[in-house]
Amino acid sequence: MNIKNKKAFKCKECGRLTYPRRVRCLQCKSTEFEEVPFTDEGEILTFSQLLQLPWGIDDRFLTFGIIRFDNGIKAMGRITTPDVSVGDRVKASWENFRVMAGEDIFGWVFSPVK
Amino acid sequence: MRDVAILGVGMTPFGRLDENDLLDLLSSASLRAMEDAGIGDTLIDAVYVANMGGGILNHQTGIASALVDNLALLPAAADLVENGPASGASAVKNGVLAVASGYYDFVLVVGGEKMRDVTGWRATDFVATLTHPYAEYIYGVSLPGMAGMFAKLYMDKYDIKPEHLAMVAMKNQENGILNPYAHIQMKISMEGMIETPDSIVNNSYVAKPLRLFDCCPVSDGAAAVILCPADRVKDFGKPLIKVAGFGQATDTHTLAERDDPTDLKAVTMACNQAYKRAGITAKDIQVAELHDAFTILEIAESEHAGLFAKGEAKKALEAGETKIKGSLPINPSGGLKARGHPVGATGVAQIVDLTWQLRGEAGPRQVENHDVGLTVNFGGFGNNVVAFVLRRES
Amino acid sequence: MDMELEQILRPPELPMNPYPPKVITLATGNKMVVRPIDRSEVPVLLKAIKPTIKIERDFYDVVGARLYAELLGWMKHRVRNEYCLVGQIDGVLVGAVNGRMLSKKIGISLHTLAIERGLRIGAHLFASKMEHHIEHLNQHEVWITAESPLGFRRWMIEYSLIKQEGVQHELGGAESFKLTRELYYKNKPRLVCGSRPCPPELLEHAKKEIIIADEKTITEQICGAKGAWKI
Repeated sequence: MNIKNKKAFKCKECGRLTYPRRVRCLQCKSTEFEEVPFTDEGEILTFSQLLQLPWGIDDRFLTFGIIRFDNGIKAMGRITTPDVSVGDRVKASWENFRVMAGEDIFGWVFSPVK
Repeated sequence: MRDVAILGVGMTPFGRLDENDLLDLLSSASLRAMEDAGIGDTLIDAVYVANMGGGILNHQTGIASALVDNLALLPAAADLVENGPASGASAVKNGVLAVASGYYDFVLVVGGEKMRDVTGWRATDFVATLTHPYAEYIYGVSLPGMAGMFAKLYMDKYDIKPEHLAMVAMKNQENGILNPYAHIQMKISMEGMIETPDSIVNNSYVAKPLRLFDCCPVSDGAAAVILCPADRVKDFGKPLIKVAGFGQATDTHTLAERDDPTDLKAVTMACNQAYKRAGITAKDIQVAELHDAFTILEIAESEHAGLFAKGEAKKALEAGETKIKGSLPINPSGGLKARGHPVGATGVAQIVDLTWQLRGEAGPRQVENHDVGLTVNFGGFGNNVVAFVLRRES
Repeated sequence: MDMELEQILRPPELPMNPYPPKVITLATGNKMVVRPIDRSEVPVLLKAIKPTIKIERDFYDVVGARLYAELLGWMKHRVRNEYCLVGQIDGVLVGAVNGRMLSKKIGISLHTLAIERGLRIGAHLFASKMEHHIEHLNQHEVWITAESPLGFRRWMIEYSLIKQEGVQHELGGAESFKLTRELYYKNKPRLVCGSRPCPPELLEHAKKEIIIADEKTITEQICGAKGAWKI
């Protein structure tokens, strides 16, 4: 699960970034992509603190948001604190943040840049 | 293509219906619609069932086949339509196409969901399975969470205050009191929801900035319509309620991939298609049933459907224009907020409610002008939207 | 009654501070008075609880039967140091919570029963109970267990309660959790509501009579009256 999720791509034809992977480019329909590395940091586009959690998570709350990495890739991930604002700079790390049905789940965890 | 009409409608009460299983709900709504249509069951050529969670929530699949058997409609054709929370309107759309094409004459469309077999957080998890499995779902995001992220941006952009969201909740719960089928029949107050310090518990945050009373309940229920060629309606002595047009449009699966996450493009496109087919513009809509799974969505959809300019819906709310007695009533049924949201049933229920309005049969919640109405059924988080325009003709 | 024998049967009681009544504004705008009751008010409460004993939904039967027994035991002087707080709107009973002092320092949370649903009455009353133990009975900790999934989710997770390995809550074998003073004050701004003093006219009205609905109405309030084939 985590391997598919770790890579972002750029369309070889038109340069549109896509994450996660898709079969055809949304813009030009090309099927040729190249992998693009994520940058270390990005900014928060939007976020929410969730206080009524779905089944499987027994925390009191969690915070997640959509981040635009500095090279333009956009991705959702957990944010380490609810005390953030839209536009804040965050550092991105790929972490094992959850266990689902006994399986370690990896994904993006963002923390504010001091 | 033939013109298609809604011959009969019916629905079960929505709520927590512990005594009834999924098949019970679907059967009850179907029989009510058949009775309303005054149609002998031998006429039903095909059945479309809308349901999202039978397999996950009720451990039952093949529901359409089970239903035609239970209803003694064999050997009618039977299909299940699953399109997330827009399953209902999608199923109606398929029924309309089947009649319009001339292939079938009489079609039953029934949507239903039995969600209260499981706890609220299991139901939340079930609906969350429509998000992207490894770019969204794994993070624990739920539909309220998606709506929270959307609301954050939309409220900032158009200066929408928590009080505006509360006005939607108050209006729709007031309407719900007038609707015997509604799940929630309780009047709520600005004082209790926002103003008193006690609101921190009364109206606790679910997904900031959205609070408890910004979210629709989790419901059981079913709704059904009988469709037929428009020129056959007179044989049954029923009012002619025509499907003037429908539209459907899709958007990116993940919220992150949208260029502007505050732009519900699929809503705009679906509504514009429906208006075009009906030969009208948004200005001709007199009453609307919108998909207010969250209060912010009623505001945003009314603007994306062109009923108000962007940023103007809040003014209409303040002025009471969207109340039953206002100039453009929205969700006189109570909407998802009060009627409830059995996901597979909702899109059909919107059409049932609008039909009652257009016929003038909506009782205490009847709106004054009721010739042309709109429904918007919002699937995913706006990635699959189905809109209908219905028109009363003589 | 053989009062000599009765004195032997009656357990000695610890002194308990009274719970100062308060008023909470609900989402409807209605005012809910939260106040302690005394033994003389138990019979009317028992009448309201009785119908819940037959309600399987959400484990109302378990909670109702046990609360009934606890209150009866308290009324007849068979339980030590018990108290009961009720929620009333315009005199009408909408919920009840009870607990007791295990010792001077340790409180026991017994049951929470909401008769009116959808208004967070259970949440408000449970918070009032925690408030009573920590702020008014001046206890160090409260022991809590859950008998329904709703209770578990709401109390254990909302208050981030501490699991007590090897500690037996007196309600039985389920997992035992505790709320400490520190946890209480950390969560208080988010979870404990209401204002004091309770306006005298509201309090007098509440004290004058605990109004309860008939059995059918109470059952409908809890279960709803709807079904697929009704209307």
